[in-house]
This record gives sequence, structure tokens and C-alpha cells, in this order.
Amino acid sequence: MSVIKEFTKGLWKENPVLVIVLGMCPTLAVSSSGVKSLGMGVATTFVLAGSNLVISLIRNIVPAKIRIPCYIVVIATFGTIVDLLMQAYSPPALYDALGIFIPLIVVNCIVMGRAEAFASRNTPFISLIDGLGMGAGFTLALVALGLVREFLCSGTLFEVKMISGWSVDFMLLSQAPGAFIVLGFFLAGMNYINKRKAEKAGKKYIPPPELDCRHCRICK
Amino acid sequence: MKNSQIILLSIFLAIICSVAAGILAFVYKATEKDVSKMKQEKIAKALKSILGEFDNNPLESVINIEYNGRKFSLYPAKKNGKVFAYAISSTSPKGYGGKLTVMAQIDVSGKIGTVMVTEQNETPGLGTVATDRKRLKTIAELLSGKRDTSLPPNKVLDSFKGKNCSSAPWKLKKDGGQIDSITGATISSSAILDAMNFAAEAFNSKKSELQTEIAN
Repeated sequence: MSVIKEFTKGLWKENPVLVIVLGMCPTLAVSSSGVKSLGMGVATTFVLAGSNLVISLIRNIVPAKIRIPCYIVVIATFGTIVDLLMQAYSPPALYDALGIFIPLIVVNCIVMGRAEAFASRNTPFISLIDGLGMGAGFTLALVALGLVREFLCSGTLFEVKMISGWSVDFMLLSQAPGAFIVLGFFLAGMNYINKRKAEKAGKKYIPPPELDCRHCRICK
Repeated sequence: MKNSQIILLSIFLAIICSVAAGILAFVYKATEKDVSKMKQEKIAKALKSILGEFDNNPLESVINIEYNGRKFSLYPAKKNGKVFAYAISSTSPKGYGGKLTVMAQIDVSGKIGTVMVTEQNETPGLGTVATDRKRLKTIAELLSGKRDTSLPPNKVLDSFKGKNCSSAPWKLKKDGGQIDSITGATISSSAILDAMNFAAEAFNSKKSELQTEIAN
């Protein structure tokens, strides 16, 4: 298991948002602009890396029966630390905008998922790398979503106006329904790229169970 | 499960929790100062943009008043030792997302100057149209390095400018009043109006007391 492979798998192959499809609540709620997405991504990365490291350190002494409550305590601790640090040092506008979603990192499925699926079975260093990689993948997916939504809504990127004369915001994109629509296109694109790649390599592409075609009969 | 095992697991969980609590207490203590400094800075910044130039520290001489069950903070601004205006902070519970706080400049005669919303939980993009004073940088500005630092306009907040507190309470234009509202953000607009009406009435009720204070 090479370190680089553990890091990069979170970026593309096992991207938490686009492939594992975990942690949808903050994804859909916060990704309405590039700046907010970036702030949320960095905060989540910190919690992921920290909790992965600590959980991996204590994995051998925690009794199996109470491991989940123990993990939650660790994750909640890191979540609260991030909340306090952001209150003290981040731009006030960013903290106000992210609001309730910072304390809610605690219940983000990705954090718990990585703790249970990875950190509780691997050594501390590799777990830390996994947490950083997953966090980076989460941040990338969120920022990409955020920029697309921000641009289509008000013609801005990172709050800088790209097109002059964009007078009325296209509200749909900044609200939850727009988030679902854009995310749908992202997931479809991810599936398409992976399918092409598999076909080129001469393999059969099996989409992730959450994203395959069995629920939809449009093109059959 | 045996009783002894239950006790053992409880003890383990208790230890984990107390370690976590200890770490959090440490982080809380370490960041406490910066958190309160950040909050003060936020108020100071708002004060600066609505009061303009002053040579005292309004944060130090804040006057807390109560009127009709609501609390208000009055920040006096002085120039050459004389109070020329107040910044009043007023919170309305009637916002679409709960509390909405406005800060307004009221000069000694009761005339309202700049109004700003300092805290709100309105719907981004809908309610915030009524509450935000926001100007987006354009790519051309960013490249040429030009910056516009004047206070961005806001239809609702600007329609209070020049009104005298003695003419309160005001009404929205669509109810036959004087204050603009924004289509799609009626609740947010009326929450601003509500906060301003209370602020003006609170100022009126304390006006005589304040004037003796100015005289001193």
C-alpha cells in the first residue's frame, strides 16, 4: 500500500461525494458558492484527518462493543475544535455563512464511514493519509459543484463577477433543487467517464450500486 | 452481558469522554480571547461604516436600554468631546429565519442616517436581497486594481435615511407607508421595519435623558 495511492484514491477512484455518495447533507446545503464550499471542505478535511488519526491510535484498546460511541466522542471533539477555531480565526462572513453546518460535521457520514471502514483497521499514518485524501476529494467535489452553481446563479466565480450586466440572479441554482440537479449531472458525468475508461481498457464497467441504471428505464 | 463487563465498558467510555472534555476545555480557553476579539471587531467595523468619523471608542461607552420588553444597545459617537450621533442596535424576532439585528445611525436630533443589518438568518438569495449591502467585484476591477469602497446601496435600508425618529412607527409602501420593500422578501423587509420602529420608539422614550447627558 503506497502512501500516494492512499491519498489519491480519495480524489477520484473513491471520491466521497461522487463515487461513495456519502455526506450529501452538507454537500447539497453548502455548495451554493465557491467560497462556502472551500471553507466547508477545509473544515471537514481537518475533522476527517484528525479523527482518523486518533481513532487509529486507539483502535486496539477500544472494546468492540462500544467502539461506535467512542468514535462519535472523538469526532465530536474535533468538530467542536473546528467550530471554535473558525469562530476565532476565520473571516466572520464565512463563519456566518456556514453557520449550523460546522457543528453538523459531526454527523457527516463520510467521517463516521472512514472511521469504521478504514481507520479502525489500519495504522495511524496510513489512516491520516486516507483522511487527508478523502478530505481533499470532498473539498474538490464541493468546490466544483459550488463554482458551477455560483456561476449559473449569478455569473460570479469566488464572488468575482465574470459577466457584467448579469442583473437578476437565477435563484433555482442557489437553492436545494438546483443542488440536486447539478449533482445529478456530476454523477452522470462521473459514470460516463469511468465507463469510457473501462471500455478502453477492455473491461466491463460496473457502476457503483447507488448510481447504476436499475432504477431508471429511460434509455432501455 | 455480565454486570462486571457493563461496568468496565461504562468506565472506559467515561474515561474517553473526560479526556475529550479536557481537550475541549483547553481549546476553549486558548481561543476564548480571540473569539471575543473577533466579535468586538465585527461590531467595531459595523460602527465605523455607519457612524463615519469619530474620535472616541463607542464600544466602551455603550448604553444598554430596555423598551417594551426588548433590549437595545446605544453606542454614542463623539467628535471633539461632544456626542454628535448614536448607533443603535435593535433585534427583531420576526425575520424569516428568526432573529434579525439592525444597526442604525441616529443623530442627536433623532434623524436617521445609515442603516445596516448586522445579524440575520434569512434565505440566501431571497431574504438577503433586503438585508445585504453587497457589491460584487467585477473581473475588470480586479485586474485594474481599482476598488470602490463606498457603502453599497440597498433599497430597503436606504429608505430610512433622513427620516426622523419622531415620525415612527413607519409602514411599508405597499401598506400605504414610506418604506420600500423587496418583492419576494416581504417578511425580511418587514422584520427590518419592525426592528427600526422599535429602535426609533426606544430612542424617543430615552431622548430627554440622553439630551441631559449630552448637555453634561
